[in-house]
Amino acid sequence: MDFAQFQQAPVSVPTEHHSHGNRWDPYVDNGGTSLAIAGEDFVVVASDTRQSNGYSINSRYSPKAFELSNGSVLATTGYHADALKLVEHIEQRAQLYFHKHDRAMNVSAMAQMLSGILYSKRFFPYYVFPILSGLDAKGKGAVYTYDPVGNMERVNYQAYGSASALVQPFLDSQVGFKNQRNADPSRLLERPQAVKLAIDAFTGATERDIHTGDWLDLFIIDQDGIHQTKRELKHD
Amino acid sequence: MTSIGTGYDLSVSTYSPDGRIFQVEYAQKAVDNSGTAIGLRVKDGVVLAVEKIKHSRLLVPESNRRIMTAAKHVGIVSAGWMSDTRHLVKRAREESRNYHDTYKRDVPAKILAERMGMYKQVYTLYSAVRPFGVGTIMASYDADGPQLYMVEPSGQYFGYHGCAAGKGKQVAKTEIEKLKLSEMTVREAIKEAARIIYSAHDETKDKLFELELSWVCEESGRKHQRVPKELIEEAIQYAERALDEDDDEMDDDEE
Repeated sequence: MDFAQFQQAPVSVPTEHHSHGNRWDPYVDNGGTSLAIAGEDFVVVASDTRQSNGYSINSRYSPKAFELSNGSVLATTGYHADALKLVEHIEQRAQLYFHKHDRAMNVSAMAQMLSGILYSKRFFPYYVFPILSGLDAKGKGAVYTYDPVGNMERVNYQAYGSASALVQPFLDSQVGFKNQRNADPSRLLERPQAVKLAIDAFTGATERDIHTGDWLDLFIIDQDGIHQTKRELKHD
Repeated sequence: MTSIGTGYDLSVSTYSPDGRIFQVEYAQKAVDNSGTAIGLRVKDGVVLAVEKIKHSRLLVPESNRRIMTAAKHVGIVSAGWMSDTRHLVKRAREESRNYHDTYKRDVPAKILAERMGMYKQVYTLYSAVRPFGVGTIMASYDADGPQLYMVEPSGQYFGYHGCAAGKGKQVAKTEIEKLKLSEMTVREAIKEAARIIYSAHDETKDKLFELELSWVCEESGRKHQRVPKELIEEAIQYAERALDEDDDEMDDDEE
């Protein structure tokens, strides 16, 4: 008997993401890239603004880096719906903290709190890769990087998102001076240099990654506050 | 205001017709019957002192401490039920630790005081439990400087420059009010605290007592710790001398 007649190949479109065959997936990857670079007394945060789903574009301008009420910036990649909810939650906690303590949360406290918030959904995670940036208690640039369930590390620079494989090695080389003889790996960049590298990272990423492009939201955090600019990227 | 609340005092979930909850007031009585505890917040730190009444000569000196540490920078002295006190300090330790795990910084005094207040308040809601018969005096040195809070059995709490609880609280409060706390240093405050405890102590009622002194200040690196032995001895001498002078004064007045 030919049993092959009982076997049917599951129908699936090759570009769309379904785990476990045809089952509904609660998560969607909205693409895009984010990065942050810490300096001696500033942080540069950059995120593109294209929001996509598979080969389709949902929006050319959907910001994924958010300014928080305590003066820090949260850059996200991954599932934008979860990113929005996460930011909402963090901001609520930041405001509760402010009213209870009569002062804004500092970055290290928020960083630790964010780790806990992410882990609290360990068994149905926020599909978000957050990068939290701000100035630490000494005024130095601080960048905290997380995985979706809250593993936290303070670093000098980080890139996440669909073009992270292109951008992170570039930052390792030009910001971290990795694998370079006679280079000082602990040297932090000057502000103009950091901004230039951030922009160049994105123009490069936009060329090769289909999910990255349209516009770039650039944040510079320093003692005077947060300065935000918008730059155009290729729309193709 | 002492009055019995016949009929309305059987459970903490019952108000009296004039809006009082008698069980909470009775809990306060338990605090009032304990050895005097005081806290003094001064320029560069906070001092805690307590009259530890001993019921037997067989007790090992310096055991059964009434002053406990809730966090590196927080000390607590209590008046009232000692068994309740241990439970509350355990809770304060957990709250401090939990805060630190969440925000990676030392718990501010007012946050910890609020948590203790809210915790005690819960036990005033249900008839299945009783309120804590403890007055909690909390000394702390955090980012906002030295601070002193007292949490009552009802859960109510206030920040103080100086506070007292227990048997001799009236005498103690009168003495504390005479002091210029904001201009004092902890070294001066230790001596005054000892003097006040000694003067609030009633020789006729409780013969045996031991003075416990602790501080959290600049000198201690903002850590809560027992006052060094030599300083305690100095303070006790100061206190005893002051008592003798008072006695001499009283004799003079009689003449």
